[in-house]
Amino acid sequence: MALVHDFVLFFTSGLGTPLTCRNDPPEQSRIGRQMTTAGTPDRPLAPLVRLALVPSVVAGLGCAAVAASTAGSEALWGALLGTVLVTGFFWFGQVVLHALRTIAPGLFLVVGLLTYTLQVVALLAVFASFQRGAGWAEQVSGTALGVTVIVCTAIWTVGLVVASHFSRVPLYDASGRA
Amino acid sequence: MSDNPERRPSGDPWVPFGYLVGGAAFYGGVGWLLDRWLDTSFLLPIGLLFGIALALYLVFKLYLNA
Repeated sequence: MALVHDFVLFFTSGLGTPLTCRNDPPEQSRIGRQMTTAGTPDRPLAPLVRLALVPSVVAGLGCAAVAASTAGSEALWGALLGTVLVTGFFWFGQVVLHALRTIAPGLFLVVGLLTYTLQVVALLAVFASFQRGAGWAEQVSGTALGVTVIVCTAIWTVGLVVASHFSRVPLYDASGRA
Repeated sequence: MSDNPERRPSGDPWVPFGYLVGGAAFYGGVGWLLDRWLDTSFLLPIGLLFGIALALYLVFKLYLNA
């Protein structure tokens, strides 16, 4: 349950204004101060890089090595392409969400969901262009691409859950900027 | 709700919505037309990604200036 609780907090911490403000009664502000953390970390994306991005890239390169040794250059290009697609897709979304949480937390939900939707549309367009392009099937192995996408996505998801479990996200804004 | 009513338009969620949807639709459409004209297949996703990136840049610039 603690893991689920932390996971929900990770994705909802920037959705709105903090629950305390300068006009709160003293007792409520005191409770709010007690529940704050010491402050936001200097590099909030560092755990995500360490636990999700790097393992996904390593797994993708491992898939590429296995694919190249077993099925040739087409599989190598397919695995590399899958690695770039997965890590680029997820990393772009996380950077956008982090910037939104910092710059405009009130717009976190609408812009985050819209960005994710447009990312999926762009990904569909990428795969549609692969299907339409005549030369892709001869140069890129679809099997290697699919397997690499599945492996990298699974590793990224596990890394994201672990990173969110150990991240420190303040529930209250102690600086009084609300 | 805000103490400063001049900053209220910057909190309008339709502004980033319009930037994002408009950017993706316009540049994706340009990429699709170029794909049909040049008989290629890769310009539609490039146009979509460029439109999304440009829209996000404009959104962040707008809210950083506000």
